[in-house]
Amino acid sequence: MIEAPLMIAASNPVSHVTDKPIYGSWIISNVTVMLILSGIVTMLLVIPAAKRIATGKTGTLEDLRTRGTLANFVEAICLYLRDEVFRPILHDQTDRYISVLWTFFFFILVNNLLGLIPFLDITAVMGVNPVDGQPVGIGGTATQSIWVTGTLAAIAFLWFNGTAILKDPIGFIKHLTAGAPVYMWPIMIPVEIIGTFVKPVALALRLFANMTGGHIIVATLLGFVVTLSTGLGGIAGHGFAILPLVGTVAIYFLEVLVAFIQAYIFTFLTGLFLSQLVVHAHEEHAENNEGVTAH
Amino acid sequence: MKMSTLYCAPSILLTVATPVFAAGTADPFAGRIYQAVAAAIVFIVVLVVLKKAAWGKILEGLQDRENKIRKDLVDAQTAAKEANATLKQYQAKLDKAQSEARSIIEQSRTEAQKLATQMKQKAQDEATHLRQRAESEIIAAKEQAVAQIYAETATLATNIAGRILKREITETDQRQLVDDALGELGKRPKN
Repeated sequence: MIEAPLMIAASNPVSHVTDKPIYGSWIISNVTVMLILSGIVTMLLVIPAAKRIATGKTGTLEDLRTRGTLANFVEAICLYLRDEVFRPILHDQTDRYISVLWTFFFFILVNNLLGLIPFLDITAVMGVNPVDGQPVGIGGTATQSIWVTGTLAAIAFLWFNGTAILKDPIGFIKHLTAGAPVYMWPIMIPVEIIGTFVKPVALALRLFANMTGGHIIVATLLGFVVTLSTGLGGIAGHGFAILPLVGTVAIYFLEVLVAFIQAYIFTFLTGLFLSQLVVHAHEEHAENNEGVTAH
Repeated sequence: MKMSTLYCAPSILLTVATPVFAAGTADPFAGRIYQAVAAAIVFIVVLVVLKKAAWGKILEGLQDRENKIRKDLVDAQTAAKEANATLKQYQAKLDKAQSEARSIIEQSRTEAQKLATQMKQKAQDEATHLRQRAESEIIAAKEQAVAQIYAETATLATNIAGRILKREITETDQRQLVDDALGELGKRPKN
């Protein structure tokens, strides 16, 4: 039975990463369930940690101590993202926007990590969620769906552009000219507009491709394990099957790293795009004010 | 468990599972709008809930720690500056005390030298005075002795002269002669 999930994973590497309906309904699919599960896990991870990170009111040094491993883990990530990643690009506006960026990071991270747990394979073997009489299981990785990553990128797109427009509409329009002379505007404005829409597409494709690619590699390597052990058989078959199995384990650990890296990159780029619009507008505004004051 | 069983079980599962995945599409870009809607709803719910229940507390905690660290750093800098200022004050006081000590020692040395010079001068003066006094006394004693010798000599001479002249010289004459002789003696230059 140990090899059962391997069999299923290896049966069709590409179909393994695609969404499946739950009991025949696409309204609630595997991805939907994993999204809801990720949302719940994210909240269960962060909210208790927040209570332990929050400072007390006794007026002693003990108030400032973060208690517990989970709270320290969450605090370390939050602190790193705030102080080391976003403060250099968002400056004094970091705390205003950090909540959304933290949410992006933790939500995507939990989605990526939950995708590494083979719920789909285990539940399929258990006969859960039969479609046309065949069990397909429940699970998978929500962030390996382009619909999900596209939606997250669209939310990020609306957020950083909406924030910039609300903060400084004229600055946002000026930003489309990239500071070029007027005679260059017919070229610069279309390029900037295209660039504005390319950003979320890049965000969505990067996350989707990385998560999908990693899972396909794992499934393919598991396919080699099955093919070698069943095809060759005997000691030779099992002996050769160890190689792709070791590779699978290595890729799996790499996938854990990729889960963190992709969550970080998505969040970082979102913050970077925001800073290009908001901090730029803010600085221009400050420069204009200084100019007016000087005159 | 036999090896054949180990092979058979996965093979059966594989046979069962393969049509299962045929139910799903093999196109990784395939999907439904429901997934997008679900992603949007779940993300926004998570964002709202965390913003209300978590991010505020975490941000406040981080800011409190940051403020505490910043305050401690400022306090430490202030304390260091105060310590430096105090050190400079003490150093200045120490330098001043050393200077005063040197001055006092120098003054004492000068006074001691002055006192020694004075004492030496006084001793020399006293010695000179004593010597002069002794010389004066010696001279006086000498003059007195010479005067006595003259007086005795005159008395003796007058007695001898009286005998020679067979004349009685009265006491008044004798005194007159001695006084005259002493008067002449006083007029003579002293050696």
